[in-house]
Amino acid sequence: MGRFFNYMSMSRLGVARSTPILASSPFFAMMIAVVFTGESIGPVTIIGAALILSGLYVTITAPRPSGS
Amino acid sequence: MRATTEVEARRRMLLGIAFGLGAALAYGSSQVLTRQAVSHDTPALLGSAMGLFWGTLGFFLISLRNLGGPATDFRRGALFFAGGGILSALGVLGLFLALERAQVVIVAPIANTNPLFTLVLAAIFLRGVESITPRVVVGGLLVVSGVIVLTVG
Repeated sequence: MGRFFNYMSMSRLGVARSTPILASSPFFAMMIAVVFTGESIGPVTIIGAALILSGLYVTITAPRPSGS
Repeated sequence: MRATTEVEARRRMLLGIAFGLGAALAYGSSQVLTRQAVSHDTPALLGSAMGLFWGTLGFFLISLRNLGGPATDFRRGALFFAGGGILSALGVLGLFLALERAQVVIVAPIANTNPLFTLVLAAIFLRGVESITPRVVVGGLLVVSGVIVLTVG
């Protein structure tokens, strides 16, 4: 499913935008691990998660050049 | 007419973002499930084979939807997919070779920089097709930095 969704995303956004979004998968792994398996997180993990979320925001809200 | 095109472009972009996040969520979930599986002493090779089996079955079921549709010439695309598959396999091989020779705390951060290579290669080989803006580069750098911090931390 991940691969299928990635191809669908790449065909719509292009590889430059879809790749950083896909690279954020460790963030989702961390969230699921915390919520469903009760793993604990430290300050370093929170800093990493904040960086990933910032990167996602910057990537997703990047304006597309006209004509693309 | 122009407004319709803009709405369509926006809809396409939002769908792309949703699919991208869905892909990240699916890959992230698979890591947690794999973690649960290996904690039950499942051999890595058997676990990988089972994962591939269920992945292939899933692909087959998704593909059933397209059976009976209009015929498409995918020869050119197939060549690129084959190239991508071979390079992915080389990437996994390189990762294993690296892990045999260096500690995971060194190998994992290096391996996680792969989106930056994608951006550089896209800028070189997909000039005119992809728009690599400074903002996209900054976004990629932030995500990669965060993943490295998560991996090392």
